[in-house]
Amino acid sequence: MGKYEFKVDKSASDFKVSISGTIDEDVDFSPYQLAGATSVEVHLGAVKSINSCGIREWIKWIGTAGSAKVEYFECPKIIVDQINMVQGFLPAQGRVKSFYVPYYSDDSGAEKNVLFTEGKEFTEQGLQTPPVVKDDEGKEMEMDVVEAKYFKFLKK
Amino acid sequence: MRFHSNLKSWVSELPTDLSQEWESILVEPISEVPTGSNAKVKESCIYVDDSLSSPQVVAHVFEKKIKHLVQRNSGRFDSDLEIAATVMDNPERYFESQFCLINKKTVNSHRIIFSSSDEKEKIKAEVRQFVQELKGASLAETVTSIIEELYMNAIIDAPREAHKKGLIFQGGTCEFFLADLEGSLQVSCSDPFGSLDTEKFLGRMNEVYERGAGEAINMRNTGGAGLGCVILFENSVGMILGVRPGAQTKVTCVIPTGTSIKQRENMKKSLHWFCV
Repeated sequence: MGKYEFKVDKSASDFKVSISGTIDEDVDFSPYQLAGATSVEVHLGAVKSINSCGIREWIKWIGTAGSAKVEYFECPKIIVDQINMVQGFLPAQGRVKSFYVPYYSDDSGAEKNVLFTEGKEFTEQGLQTPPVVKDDEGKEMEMDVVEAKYFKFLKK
Repeated sequence: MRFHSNLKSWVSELPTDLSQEWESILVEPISEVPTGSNAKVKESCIYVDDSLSSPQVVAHVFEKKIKHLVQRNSGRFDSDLEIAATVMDNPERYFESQFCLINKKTVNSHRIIFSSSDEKEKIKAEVRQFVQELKGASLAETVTSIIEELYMNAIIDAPREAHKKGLIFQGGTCEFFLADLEGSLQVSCSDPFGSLDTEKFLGRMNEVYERGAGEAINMRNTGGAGLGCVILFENSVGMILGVRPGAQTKVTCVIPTGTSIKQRENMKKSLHWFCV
Protein backbone atom coordinates (compact mmCIF):
# COMPACT_ATOMS: atom_id res chain seq x y z
CA MET A 1 0.00 0.00 0.00
CA GLY A 2 1.23 3.53 -0.82
CA LYS A 3 1.29 6.44 1.59
CA TYR A 4 -2.37 7.15 1.09
CA GLU A 5 -5.49 5.49 -0.21
CA PHE A 6 -8.53 7.01 -1.85
CA LYS A 7 -11.92 5.42 -2.32
CA VAL A 8 -14.68 7.23 -4.18
CA ASP A 9 -18.19 5.85 -4.42
CA LYS A 10 -20.46 7.73 -6.77
CA SER A 11 -24.20 7.42 -6.75
CA ALA A 12 -25.55 9.77 -9.41
CA SER A 13 -24.12 13.14 -8.27
CA ASP A 14 -23.59 12.10 -4.65
CA PHE A 15 -19.94 11.36 -3.99
CA LYS A 16 -18.68 9.49 -0.93
CA VAL A 17 -14.92 9.77 -0.46
CA SER A 18 -12.84 7.84 2.07
CA ILE A 19 -9.23 8.85 2.59
CA SER A 20 -6.59 7.07 4.62
CA GLY A 21 -2.88 7.46 5.27
CA THR A 22 -0.57 10.44 4.80
CA ILE A 23 -1.55 13.52 2.83
CA ASP A 24 1.69 15.20 1.85
CA GLU A 25 3.69 16.66 -1.06
CA ASP A 26 3.31 13.39 -2.99
CA VAL A 27 -0.48 13.27 -2.88
CA ASP A 28 -2.19 13.36 -6.26
CA PHE A 29 -5.84 14.28 -6.11
CA SER A 30 -6.22 14.70 -9.88
CA PRO A 31 -7.95 11.33 -10.49
CA TYR A 32 -10.56 12.23 -7.86
CA GLN A 33 -11.97 15.55 -9.03
CA LEU A 34 -15.32 16.49 -7.57
CA ALA A 35 -16.77 18.43 -10.49
CA GLY A 36 -20.35 17.39 -11.16
CA ALA A 37 -21.09 16.45 -7.55
CA THR A 38 -24.09 17.96 -5.80
CA SER A 39 -23.03 16.46 -2.49
CA VAL A 40 -19.65 15.25 -1.22
CA GLU A 41 -19.17 13.20 1.94
CA VAL A 42 -15.54 12.96 3.02
CA HIS A 43 -14.63 10.31 5.59
CA LEU A 44 -11.35 11.12 7.31
CA GLY A 45 -11.13 8.72 10.23
CA ALA A 46 -8.13 6.89 8.79
CA VAL A 47 -6.01 9.93 7.93
CA LYS A 48 -2.73 9.60 9.84
CA SER A 49 -0.92 12.83 9.02
CA ILE A 50 -1.06 15.88 6.81
CA ASN A 51 1.70 18.39 6.11
CA SER A 52 1.70 21.92 4.71
CA CYS A 53 1.97 20.77 1.08
CA GLY A 54 -0.84 18.31 1.71
CA ILE A 55 -2.96 21.16 3.06
CA ARG A 56 -2.39 23.11 -0.17
CA GLU A 57 -3.33 20.15 -2.36
CA TRP A 58 -6.38 19.53 -0.20
CA ILE A 59 -7.65 23.07 -0.62
CA LYS A 60 -7.23 22.86 -4.40
CA TRP A 61 -8.99 19.52 -4.49
CA ILE A 62 -11.94 20.39 -2.28
CA GLY A 63 -12.36 23.53 -4.39
CA THR A 64 -13.30 21.34 -7.36
CA ALA A 65 -16.55 20.57 -5.52
CA GLY A 66 -17.70 24.07 -6.46
CA SER A 67 -21.01 24.80 -4.78
CA ALA A 68 -21.76 21.17 -3.87
CA LYS A 69 -22.79 20.34 -0.33
CA VAL A 70 -19.62 19.18 1.47
CA GLU A 71 -19.60 17.24 4.72
CA TYR A 72 -16.60 15.95 6.69
CA PHE A 73 -16.96 12.87 8.89
CA GLU A 74 -14.79 11.33 11.65
CA CYS A 75 -12.24 14.13 11.54
CA PRO A 76 -9.17 13.25 13.62
CA LYS A 77 -7.52 16.02 15.66
CA ILE A 78 -4.92 16.72 12.97
CA ILE A 79 -7.75 17.53 10.55
CA VAL A 80 -9.71 19.60 13.09
CA ASP A 81 -6.51 21.58 13.68
CA GLN A 82 -6.30 22.40 9.96
CA ILE A 83 -9.99 23.30 9.77
CA ASN A 84 -9.40 25.79 12.57
CA MET A 85 -6.06 27.10 11.32
CA VAL A 86 -6.48 27.30 7.56
CA GLN A 87 -9.47 29.12 6.13
CA GLY A 88 -10.61 27.21 3.08
CA PHE A 89 -9.64 23.77 4.39
CA LEU A 90 -13.33 23.33 5.09
CA PRO A 91 -15.04 25.14 2.22
CA ALA A 92 -17.46 27.93 3.02
CA GLN A 93 -20.47 25.71 2.35
CA GLY A 94 -18.94 22.75 4.20
CA ARG A 95 -19.98 21.24 7.50
CA VAL A 96 -18.29 18.95 9.98
CA LYS A 97 -20.67 16.13 10.84
CA SER A 98 -18.43 14.26 13.26
CA PHE A 99 -14.97 14.72 14.75
CA TYR A 100 -12.71 13.27 17.42
CA VAL A 101 -11.99 14.97 20.73
CA PRO A 102 -8.99 13.83 22.80
CA TYR A 103 -9.54 13.03 26.47
CA TYR A 104 -6.84 12.67 29.11
CA SER A 105 -6.55 11.25 32.60
CA ASP A 106 -4.21 13.19 34.87
CA ASP A 107 -4.05 10.23 37.27
CA SER A 108 -3.14 7.48 34.86
CA GLY A 109 -1.87 9.46 31.83
CA ALA A 110 -4.35 7.52 29.71
CA GLU A 111 -5.52 9.06 26.43
CA LYS A 112 -8.69 8.41 24.47
CA ASN A 113 -10.22 9.89 21.35
CA VAL A 114 -13.98 10.26 21.54
CA LEU A 115 -16.17 10.78 18.50
CA PHE A 116 -18.49 13.77 18.72
CA THR A 117 -21.42 13.55 16.28
CA GLU A 118 -23.74 16.30 15.10
CA GLY A 119 -27.08 16.00 16.78
CA LYS A 120 -25.56 14.36 19.86
CA GLU A 121 -22.50 16.05 21.31
CA PHE A 122 -22.94 19.18 19.19
CA THR A 123 -25.56 20.91 17.09
CA GLU A 124 -25.66 23.92 14.81
CA GLN A 125 -25.88 26.00 17.98
CA GLY A 126 -22.59 24.61 19.25
CA LEU A 127 -21.33 22.15 21.83
CA GLN A 128 -23.87 20.34 23.97
CA THR A 129 -23.12 18.78 27.37
CA PRO A 130 -19.94 16.77 26.75
CA PRO A 131 -20.05 13.04 27.49
CA VAL A 132 -18.51 11.57 30.61
CA VAL A 133 -15.50 9.52 29.59
CA LYS A 134 -13.69 7.11 31.88
CA ASP A 135 -10.30 5.45 31.62
CA ASP A 136 -9.76 1.68 31.93
CA GLU A 137 -9.75 2.02 35.72
CA GLY A 138 -13.09 3.75 35.74
CA LYS A 139 -11.68 7.18 36.55
CA GLU A 140 -13.17 10.18 34.85
CA MET A 141 -11.11 11.74 32.08
CA GLU A 142 -11.05 15.37 31.00
CA MET A 143 -11.39 16.88 27.53
CA ASP A 144 -7.80 17.44 26.51
CA VAL A 145 -8.21 20.50 24.33
CA VAL A 146 -8.19 24.27 24.71
CA GLU A 147 -11.92 24.51 24.10
CA ALA A 148 -12.05 28.03 22.68
CA LYS A 149 -9.44 27.01 20.11
CA TYR A 150 -10.53 23.43 19.29
CA PHE A 151 -14.22 24.10 18.93
CA LYS A 152 -13.73 27.41 17.12
CA PHE A 153 -15.01 25.93 13.83
CA LEU A 154 -18.38 25.17 15.42
CA LYS A 155 -19.01 28.86 15.84
CA LYS A 156 -18.68 29.64 12.10
CA MET B 1 23.52 34.69 34.17
CA ARG B 2 23.00 38.26 35.21
CA PHE B 3 19.34 38.89 35.84
CA HIS B 4 17.75 42.32 35.55
CA SER B 5 16.61 43.69 38.90
CA ASN B 6 12.97 43.57 37.79
CA LEU B 7 13.20 39.77 37.54
CA LYS B 8 13.98 39.20 41.23
CA SER B 9 10.70 37.41 42.00
CA TRP B 10 11.14 35.08 39.01
CA VAL B 11 14.75 34.34 39.97
CA SER B 12 13.76 33.50 43.53
CA GLU B 13 11.40 30.81 42.22
CA LEU B 14 14.05 29.05 40.15
CA PRO B 15 14.98 25.66 41.63
CA THR B 16 18.60 26.02 40.55
CA ASP B 17 20.92 28.98 41.01
CA LEU B 18 21.69 30.06 37.46
CA SER B 19 23.45 33.25 38.51
CA GLN B 20 26.73 31.35 38.98
CA GLU B 21 26.80 30.03 35.44
CA TRP B 22 27.08 31.73 32.04
CA GLU B 23 28.15 34.99 33.61
CA SER B 24 28.37 36.87 30.33
CA ILE B 25 24.70 36.30 29.55
CA LEU B 26 22.17 38.95 30.52
CA VAL B 27 18.54 38.15 31.20
CA GLU B 28 16.20 41.09 30.84
CA PRO B 29 12.47 41.58 30.60
CA ILE B 30 11.20 42.26 27.11
CA SER B 31 10.12 45.71 28.26
CA GLU B 32 13.85 46.57 28.32
CA VAL B 33 14.21 46.07 24.56
CA PRO B 34 15.44 49.41 23.23
CA THR B 35 13.04 51.27 20.98
CA GLY B 36 13.71 53.87 18.32
CA SER B 37 15.07 53.66 14.80
CA ASN B 38 18.73 53.32 15.85
CA ALA B 39 18.05 51.05 18.81
CA LYS B 40 19.89 47.74 18.88
CA VAL B 41 19.06 44.76 21.05
CA LYS B 42 21.88 43.48 23.23
CA GLU B 43 23.66 40.54 21.60
CA SER B 44 24.33 38.41 24.67
CA CYS B 45 20.89 38.89 26.12
CA ILE B 46 17.97 36.59 26.70
CA TYR B 47 14.78 38.61 26.72
CA VAL B 48 12.03 37.11 28.85
CA ASP B 49 8.31 37.41 29.30
CA ASP B 50 5.43 35.20 30.40
CA SER B 51 2.37 36.39 28.58
CA LEU B 52 3.12 36.64 24.87
CA SER B 53 0.98 34.74 22.41
CA SER B 54 2.68 32.88 19.54
CA PRO B 55 2.04 35.73 17.05
CA GLN B 56 3.41 38.25 19.56
CA VAL B 57 6.58 36.21 20.07
CA VAL B 58 7.21 36.11 16.36
CA ALA B 59 6.40 39.81 15.93
CA HIS B 60 8.84 40.79 18.70
CA VAL B 61 11.63 38.57 17.32
CA PHE B 62 11.09 39.61 13.70
CA GLU B 63 10.54 43.33 14.17
CA LYS B 64 13.02 43.99 16.95
CA LYS B 65 15.63 41.45 15.82
CA ILE B 66 15.64 39.77 19.23
CA LYS B 67 17.76 36.63 18.96
CA HIS B 68 16.72 34.86 22.15
CA LEU B 69 13.24 35.22 23.61
CA VAL B 70 12.33 32.85 26.45
CA GLN B 71 8.99 32.74 28.16
CA ARG B 72 8.47 31.62 31.69
CA ASN B 73 6.29 28.54 32.08
CA SER B 74 5.73 27.11 35.52
CA GLY B 75 8.12 24.25 36.24
CA ARG B 76 10.36 24.70 33.20
CA PHE B 77 11.70 28.26 33.21
CA ASP B 78 15.10 27.12 34.42
CA SER B 79 15.45 24.43 31.74
CA ASP B 80 14.33 26.82 28.99
CA LEU B 81 16.85 29.42 30.18
CA GLU B 82 19.49 26.72 30.26
CA ILE B 83 18.65 25.74 26.68
CA ALA B 84 19.06 29.35 25.57
CA ALA B 85 22.32 29.77 27.47
CA THR B 86 23.77 26.52 26.14
CA VAL B 87 23.17 27.70 22.60
CA MET B 88 24.44 31.23 23.23
CA ASP B 89 27.53 30.16 25.12
CA ASN B 90 29.04 28.25 22.24
CA PRO B 91 26.92 28.53 19.10
CA GLU B 92 29.39 26.51 17.02
CA ARG B 93 28.68 23.50 19.21
CA TYR B 94 24.96 23.71 18.42
CA PHE B 95 25.78 22.51 14.92
CA GLU B 96 27.59 19.37 16.09
CA SER B 97 25.97 16.05 15.40
CA GLN B 98 24.00 14.74 18.39
CA PHE B 99 24.37 18.00 20.31
CA CYS B 100 22.06 17.95 23.36
CA LEU B 101 20.46 21.17 24.50
CA ILE B 102 20.79 20.30 28.16
CA ASN B 103 24.30 19.07 28.84
CA LYS B 104 24.16 17.79 32.36
CA LYS B 105 21.70 15.00 31.92
CA THR B 106 22.35 11.58 30.48
CA VAL B 107 19.78 11.28 27.82
CA ASN B 108 18.08 8.65 25.79
CA SER B 109 18.63 9.74 22.21
CA HIS B 110 18.27 8.63 18.62
CA ARG B 111 20.00 9.73 15.45
CA ILE B 112 18.76 9.19 11.90
CA ILE B 113 20.80 10.08 8.84
CA PHE B 114 18.95 10.60 5.59
CA SER B 115 19.57 11.96 2.13
CA SER B 116 16.69 11.16 -0.19
CA SER B 117 13.04 11.97 -0.57
CA ASP B 118 11.78 8.40 -0.24
CA GLU B 119 12.92 7.77 3.30
CA LYS B 120 10.25 9.78 5.10
CA GLU B 121 7.81 7.01 6.05
CA LYS B 122 10.64 4.85 7.40
CA ILE B 123 11.91 7.80 9.44
CA LYS B 124 8.45 8.52 10.81
CA ALA B 125 8.11 4.89 11.92
CA GLU B 126 11.50 5.02 13.67
CA VAL B 127 10.63 8.26 15.40
CA ARG B 128 7.24 6.93 16.53
CA GLN B 129 8.97 3.94 18.09
CA PHE B 130 11.39 6.21 19.96
CA VAL B 131 8.64 8.55 21.13
CA GLN B 132 6.34 5.73 22.26
CA GLU B 133 8.72 5.11 25.13
CA LEU B 134 7.97 8.63 26.35
CA LYS B 135 4.28 8.44 27.19
CA GLY B 136 1.54 9.52 24.88
CA ALA B 137 0.05 8.82 21.47
CA SER B 138 -0.73 12.53 21.26
CA LEU B 139 2.99 13.26 21.65
CA ALA B 140 3.75 10.91 18.74
CA GLU B 141 1.21 12.78 16.60
CA THR B 142 2.81 16.13 17.48
CA VAL B 143 6.29 14.83 16.70
CA THR B 144 5.07 13.37 13.39
CA SER B 145 3.78 16.81 12.33
CA ILE B 146 7.18 18.28 13.18
CA ILE B 147 9.11 15.56 11.35
CA GLU B 148 6.93 16.09 8.24
CA GLU B 149 7.81 19.78 8.01
CA LEU B 150 11.48 19.48 8.99
CA TYR B 151 11.96 16.69 6.47
CA MET B 152 10.48 18.75 3.63
CA ASN B 153 12.62 21.73 4.63
CA ALA B 154 15.80 19.66 4.59
CA ILE B 155 15.20 17.52 1.51
CA ILE B 156 13.18 19.82 -0.77
CA ASP B 157 13.36 23.46 0.34
CA ALA B 158 17.01 23.65 1.42
CA PRO B 159 18.59 22.40 -1.85
CA ARG B 160 16.15 24.50 -3.90
CA GLU B 161 17.05 27.65 -1.98
CA ALA B 162 20.75 26.80 -2.19
CA HIS B 163 20.43 26.47 -5.95
CA LYS B 164 18.61 29.83 -6.18
CA LYS B 165 21.37 31.50 -4.18
CA GLY B 166 24.10 29.88 -6.26
CA LEU B 167 25.57 28.12 -3.24
CA ILE B 168 27.96 25.29 -4.00
CA PHE B 169 26.99 22.06 -2.27
CA GLN B 170 29.88 20.95 -0.06
CA GLY B 171 28.56 17.43 0.37
CA GLY B 172 27.04 15.81 3.43
CA THR B 173 23.80 14.29 4.58
CA CYS B 174 20.79 15.38 6.57
CA GLU B 175 20.27 14.27 10.11
CA PHE B 176 17.49 14.02 12.64
CA PHE B 177 18.50 13.93 16.27
CA LEU B 178 15.98 13.25 19.02
CA ALA B 179 16.84 13.49 22.71
CA ASP B 180 14.76 12.91 25.81
CA LEU B 181 15.73 15.82 28.05
CA GLU B 182 13.46 14.67 30.93
CA GLY B 183 10.63 17.11 30.72
CA SER B 184 11.27 17.96 27.08
CA LEU B 185 11.87 16.21 23.81
CA GLN B 186 14.47 17.77 21.52
CA VAL B 187 13.85 17.23 17.80
CA SER B 188 16.67 18.62 15.69
CA CYS B 189 17.03 18.49 11.93
CA SER B 190 20.24 19.44 10.19
CA ASP B 191 20.90 19.83 6.46
CA PRO B 192 24.22 20.44 4.69
CA PHE B 193 23.09 23.41 2.58
CA GLY B 194 22.98 26.33 5.00
CA SER B 195 20.51 28.14 2.77
CA LEU B 196 17.90 29.11 5.34
CA ASP B 197 17.28 32.85 5.29
CA THR B 198 16.29 33.45 8.92
CA GLU B 199 14.89 36.91 8.26
CA LYS B 200 12.72 35.56 5.44
CA PHE B 201 11.64 32.59 7.60
CA LEU B 202 10.66 34.81 10.52
CA GLY B 203 9.01 37.29 8.17
CA ARG B 204 6.97 34.49 6.68
CA MET B 205 5.88 33.32 10.15
CA ASN B 206 4.87 36.88 10.95
CA GLU B 207 2.89 37.12 7.72
CA VAL B 208 1.03 33.86 8.36
CA TYR B 209 0.07 34.98 11.85
CA GLU B 210 -0.95 38.47 10.70
CA ARG B 211 -2.95 37.50 7.61
CA GLY B 212 -4.13 34.07 8.66
CA ALA B 213 -2.93 30.79 7.16
CA GLY B 214 -5.78 30.62 4.66
CA GLU B 215 -4.86 34.01 3.18
CA ALA B 216 -1.08 33.64 3.37
CA ILE B 217 -0.79 30.10 1.97
CA ASN B 218 1.21 29.82 -1.26
CA MET B 219 -1.24 28.18 -3.64
CA ARG B 220 1.18 28.10 -6.60
CA ASN B 221 2.43 24.71 -7.69
CA THR B 222 6.07 25.73 -7.17
CA GLY B 223 7.71 26.07 -3.81
CA GLY B 224 6.33 25.12 -0.44
CA ALA B 225 2.97 26.18 0.91
CA GLY B 226 4.69 28.55 3.33
CA LEU B 227 2.91 27.23 6.41
CA GLY B 228 5.51 24.80 7.68
CA CYS B 229 7.29 27.44 9.77
CA VAL B 230 4.12 28.12 11.77
CA ILE B 231 3.18 24.43 11.99
CA LEU B 232 6.58 23.78 13.58
CA PHE B 233 6.17 26.62 16.06
CA GLU B 234 2.59 25.72 16.93
CA ASN B 235 3.68 22.16 17.77
CA SER B 236 6.60 23.21 19.98
CA VAL B 237 7.21 25.12 23.19
CA GLY B 238 10.46 26.43 21.75
CA MET B 239 12.19 26.65 18.40
CA ILE B 240 15.82 27.31 17.51
CA LEU B 241 16.99 28.33 14.03
CA GLY B 242 20.74 28.09 13.48
CA VAL B 243 22.52 28.70 10.18
CA ARG B 244 26.10 28.43 9.00
CA PRO B 245 25.52 30.08 5.61
CA GLY B 246 26.48 27.84 2.72
CA ALA B 247 27.33 24.97 5.04
CA GLN B 248 24.57 23.92 7.43
CA THR B 249 21.12 24.73 8.74
CA LYS B 250 19.88 23.21 11.95
CA VAL B 251 16.34 23.68 13.19
CA THR B 252 15.37 22.38 16.64
CA CYS B 253 11.92 22.06 18.12
CA VAL B 254 11.50 21.53 21.86
CA ILE B 255 8.34 19.70 22.90
CA PRO B 256 7.23 19.30 26.51
CA THR B 257 6.77 15.70 27.65
CA GLY B 258 4.75 14.22 30.48
CA THR B 259 1.96 16.71 29.86
CA SER B 260 -1.49 16.68 28.36
CA ILE B 261 -2.27 18.33 25.00
CA LYS B 262 -4.07 21.12 26.84
CA GLN B 263 -1.10 21.78 29.12
CA ARG B 264 1.24 21.87 26.08
CA GLU B 265 -1.02 24.22 24.15
CA ASN B 266 -1.33 26.59 27.11
CA MET B 267 2.43 26.95 27.46
CA LYS B 268 4.04 30.16 26.30
CA LYS B 269 6.63 29.79 23.56
CA SER B 270 10.28 30.68 23.15
CA LEU B 271 12.14 31.45 19.94
CA HIS B 272 15.84 31.69 19.06
CA TRP B 273 17.78 32.36 15.89
CA PHE B 274 21.41 32.97 14.99
CA CYS B 275 23.96 32.72 12.22
CA VAL B 276 27.56 31.66 12.64
